[in-house]
Amino acid sequence: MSYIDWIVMCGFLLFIVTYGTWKSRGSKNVKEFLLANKSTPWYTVALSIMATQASAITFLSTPGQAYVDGMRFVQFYIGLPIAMIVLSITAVPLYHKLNVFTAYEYLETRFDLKNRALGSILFLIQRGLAAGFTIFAPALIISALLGWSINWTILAIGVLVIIYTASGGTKAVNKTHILQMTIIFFGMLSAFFMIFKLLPENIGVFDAMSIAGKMGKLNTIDFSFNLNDRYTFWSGLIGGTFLALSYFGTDQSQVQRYLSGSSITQSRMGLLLNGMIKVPMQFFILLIGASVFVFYQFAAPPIYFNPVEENAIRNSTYSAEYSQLENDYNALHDKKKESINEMLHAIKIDDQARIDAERDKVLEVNKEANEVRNSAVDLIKKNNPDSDGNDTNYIFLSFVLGFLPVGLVGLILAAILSASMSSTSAELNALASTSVIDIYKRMINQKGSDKHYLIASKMSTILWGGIAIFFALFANSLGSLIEAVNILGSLFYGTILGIFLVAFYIKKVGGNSVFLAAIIAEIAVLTLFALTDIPYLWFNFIGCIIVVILGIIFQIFLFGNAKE
Amino acid sequence: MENNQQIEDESPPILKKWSRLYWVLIINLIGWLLIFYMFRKAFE
Repeated sequence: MSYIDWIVMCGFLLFIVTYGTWKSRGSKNVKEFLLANKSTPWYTVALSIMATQASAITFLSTPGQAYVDGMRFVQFYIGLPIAMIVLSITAVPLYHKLNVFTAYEYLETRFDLKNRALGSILFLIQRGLAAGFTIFAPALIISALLGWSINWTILAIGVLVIIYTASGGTKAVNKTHILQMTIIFFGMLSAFFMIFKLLPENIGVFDAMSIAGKMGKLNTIDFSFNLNDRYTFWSGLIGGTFLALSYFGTDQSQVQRYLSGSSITQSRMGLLLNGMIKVPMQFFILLIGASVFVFYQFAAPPIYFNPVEENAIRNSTYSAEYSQLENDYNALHDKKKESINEMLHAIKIDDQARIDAERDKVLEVNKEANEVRNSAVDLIKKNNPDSDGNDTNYIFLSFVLGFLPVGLVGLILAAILSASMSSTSAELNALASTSVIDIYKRMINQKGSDKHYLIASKMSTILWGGIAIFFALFANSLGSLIEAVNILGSLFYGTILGIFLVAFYIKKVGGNSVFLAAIIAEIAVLTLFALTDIPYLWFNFIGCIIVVILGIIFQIFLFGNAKE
Repeated sequence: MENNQQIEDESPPILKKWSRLYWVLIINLIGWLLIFYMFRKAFE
């Protein structure tokens, strides 16, 4: 990386951290620290919600997923706008009117203390682990890029986020989110336009999309109903709606964003704007991945995208074998390139029979190339048994470092790091709120002064930052990061959502019934996850439905009309 | 039960709150789904 890239990257990041810390200096009370004094306008709420969800994982893993699996992942977000509407109608006015600090505080108002404790503890477990992944992702980039120790990189990024989040709280998080989202949008657009500029001169945008489409990468929508297929329209609509409802309605890292809105209308507008932009934004990020795929149909891709693993095998006893596989892979790439050019010619003269024939040839060569690649992956795993053989997260990074011009590399790295810092800061902020408001203040020490809880919130931010760093150090052995985080979320979100759905809509079900139902639902979800191959998105639905149905049954048959 | 009553009173009347903005969001989503479908079909 050139010194110009260093200047661009460090300049952006230092400016963001300094700006956020300066603008949020001097929090005087807990409300100011945790809710930014409820004074945030709708556009900041919207940007903050988006910045919280868009972590570095979004940037690294999503284009890689489109490269490998096509754009079908976009269907995961279909349910999000629907969830935004439901939450604007129900959760937003309720949280505002009850003037709560956290979503779980509402559970005590509606049910009892044990449900509040269950909701907040499930959140702390799930989000505490997820914060580790959020720090880990960019650390992976930097370490692969510069050859640094990944552990030291995790520490450096984690400490930077802890400094401004612990110093300025929600206000610092919101202020930095605006700048971070600006850099993210700018970085994404620049990368997208550069890919098309780097394609051979005779390949236009239409040609590039034709190649991606013919090779099955533009599979944006699939209406088939298949429980074993992870991303379809139906899993996105049903599972995605439940996941989004749960994430935005009951996950404190998001609830805290719109709780800081200055009124119900401002919070609603923020959520709805997020629903409007999120689907096209994900489509666009996936399109970047599909475009990188097209780019690598003309420029020879590495047989394996993780440079660290590649270097390791080149210096091992398998080096000769690996080189031979690389030669085979490159020869197949040249063959494929010829067929793609033939296919493009057929598309231009609109010869359908020839298009089909050339596409079959391309797909056949692609299959052979994948077999060679799989052999290389086997070799890498043989050389390093700890390797998971998954290089999805390195594809976009590898492209950025290899082909983008000086300056833009620094900008995109700043965008990736900004994305990581934005979601980590929101997570630490929410973990601190839940620990202090729902656990410490409610269950351990109710008699402290406002200043005492302000200091406790700051200390809690630092403590959770430390825990996130600790988990980040163990995240290296997991596969595609975005899926790991989503799988983790789906195991807990369904149960939490079930508790909140009962709280919002089924007035006759009391605290004991819903608590027992939630415990059984969580055990059932974890058992199903361990023993079956049900795609993870469905666990949001399953966990939620079990809580709702059992909650009603227990209320009727076990707890009757007893006053709870 | 007292708590339940309190929340019930404060709950927004669902379905009465459908404003134009909610419909804009639904139409926006349907529009994107159509674009995805056409995008897939156009380049398949």
